Amino acid sequence: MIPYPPSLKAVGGARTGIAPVNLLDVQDVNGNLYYWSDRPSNAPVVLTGAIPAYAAPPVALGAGQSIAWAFPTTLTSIVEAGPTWGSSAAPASVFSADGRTNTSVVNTSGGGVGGGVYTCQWSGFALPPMPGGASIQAIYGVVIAGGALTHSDFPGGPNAVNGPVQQLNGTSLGTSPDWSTLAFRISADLNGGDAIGAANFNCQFIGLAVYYTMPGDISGWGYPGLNAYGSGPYSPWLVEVPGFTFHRSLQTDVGSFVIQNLSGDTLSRDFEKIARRSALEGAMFVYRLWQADAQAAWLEVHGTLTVQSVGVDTVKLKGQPCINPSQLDTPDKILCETCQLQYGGRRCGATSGVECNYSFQTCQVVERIFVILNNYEKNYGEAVANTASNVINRRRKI
Amino acid sequence: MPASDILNPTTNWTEDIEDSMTPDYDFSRKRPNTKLNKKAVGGTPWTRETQNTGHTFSLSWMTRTYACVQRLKWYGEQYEDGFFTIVDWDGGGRQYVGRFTSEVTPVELGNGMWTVQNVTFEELPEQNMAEYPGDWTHDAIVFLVNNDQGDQKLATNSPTNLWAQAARTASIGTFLSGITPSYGLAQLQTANAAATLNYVTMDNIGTAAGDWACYEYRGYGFRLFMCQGPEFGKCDVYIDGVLLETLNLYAAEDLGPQIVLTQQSMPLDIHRVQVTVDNTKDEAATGYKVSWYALEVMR
Repeated sequence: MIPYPPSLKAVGGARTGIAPVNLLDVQDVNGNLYYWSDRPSNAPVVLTGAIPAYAAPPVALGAGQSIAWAFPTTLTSIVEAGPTWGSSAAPASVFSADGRTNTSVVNTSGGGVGGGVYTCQWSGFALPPMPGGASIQAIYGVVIAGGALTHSDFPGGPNAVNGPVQQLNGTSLGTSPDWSTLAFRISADLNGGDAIGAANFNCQFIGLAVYYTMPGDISGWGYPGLNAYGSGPYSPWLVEVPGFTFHRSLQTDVGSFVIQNLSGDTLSRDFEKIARRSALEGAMFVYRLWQADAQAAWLEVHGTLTVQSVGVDTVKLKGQPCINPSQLDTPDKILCETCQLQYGGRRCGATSGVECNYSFQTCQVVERIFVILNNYEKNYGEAVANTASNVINRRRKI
Repeated sequence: MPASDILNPTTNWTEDIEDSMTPDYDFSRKRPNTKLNKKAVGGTPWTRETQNTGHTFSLSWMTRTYACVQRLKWYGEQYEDGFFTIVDWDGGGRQYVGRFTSEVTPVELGNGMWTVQNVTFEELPEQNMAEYPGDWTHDAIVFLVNNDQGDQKLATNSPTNLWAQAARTASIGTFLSGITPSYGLAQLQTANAAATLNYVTMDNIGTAAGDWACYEYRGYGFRLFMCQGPEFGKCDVYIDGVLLETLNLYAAEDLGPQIVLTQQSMPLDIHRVQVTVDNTKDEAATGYKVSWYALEVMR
């Protein structure tokens, strides 16, 4: 059981003080974000659309601030000066969605007399997904260094690594950098007089931390229906929320949210525009019963949405659990009279060098056989399995 | 022509019925709610105009001649399935087209006089009128690009996203100078007499033909306010999908919002006024810009 945070206990039971706010965060399958509540609220959102980063925020988040990460897509190697002698290793360019990389900057001198500066440049950053109209306060370059640092002579200056740091808070890039030309550089420098013949810097993570706040002004919002009074990202669309019944089983927990369907311009409703972007089918939602004075939620439900009905003044959205086995369209295995396990595999467990015929009769590890046994199987002999007979439609895979 | 058949063309005594067809004082004029409303526990209520229902009157004719009552009965029967015109003489002489939807029940008094009480007259939408309402100062209401809560109500369409709201400022005393606008805009005029006025328009640089802005409203005719000046081009105005006029928004000086189009002869209905960018301009104009400020709607 997850205990309630102390702040909730401090304000007492739900509905004894300030009435809790119902909050619904929605991210549709195309990445569009919607925040609905039953009254204006400046609660921090749960779904930000941002990809969680491998790194921690370089600077503590301010009040009401959120963070989104931008990651590079391009890596180039640049020889900035020299070398007279020596060589540089080609940087390995491996990126993952959360900014991890194993790039190395290596500078090797020829016999201690070479010199030069080798630089890795990361570029191809793109503005990360943020709620429409978010206000960017700062952008920091972040590097996590790892692996062997074989030479300490790294140049200083903006955006350059200086010493064996684990995490670097680079110079803030302001609030509106030119994303098309933005580049991040790390250099390995080897002076000609250095006795040791190599400089190496290994980088585990590279990214830009974007600090932003939700807007309180309608003018910048990319999606319709925002509350215009500057009190947070949530707009008061939520007319009705379900009472959830939770089952500690795979029984489906469902409930319907009702949102208003009147706002919009005079020609079309806001929900029409949302449905045009994506029908909200399969959209991720997070519902919270939020206690504003405690800044914590009594209840948090995660799931997916489907549009139940669209009325003239309301839309009913059905919330379903994230895991709904009845919606799986790919069964784990085909159940038939032929064993579906790979011979000699871990689940089979047979150790003989002779492969079975994937039948009950030829099975070498009967306790693990993966078949439905029946008494009309004729493929592999007349032996009758000592199990109950089931009339089944044969769907054989041999 | 039912619209020209007026029940009470004059308040005067008329010889043929030896009475007046104008109803008695103290009748009511209502307008049923035509909006849907929805509101969460907190926050702004959301509304949407969904019907074109008109006004409803409850009329009485007290102590009238039999000929007068006979005529009322005739209007009830003849236009049971049609419509005719009444004039609200006490309300400034404005005309309404519609029909009686409750029975005309004459009750005989003494001395050969008759009374008809509480007959419901319902205005019919989408019908032609002999004279369309035209008191722009008192009856028209104003719709801006955004409503009072800040939600954009003007619908726009541009595949290349060329529509954008623009914040404009009118220096003291220049806002709609020389224009007698509706009471709503006159409030802004008054405010502008003492201070600079900030207002919002919906602008398009006007180079992508086919981009449009459209406002749907319930009412009769309208007056369209758009900006005029050296940088403004031309645009087409459509009403309910039909091209009404091509406007030249060019002016040698920056005039701010002006009444660029008045269309009074429109029946009560839900109408769409659409401004379409056509990428043309006056020869003297420096740009193709189109800028929508407001729509005054007769109600």
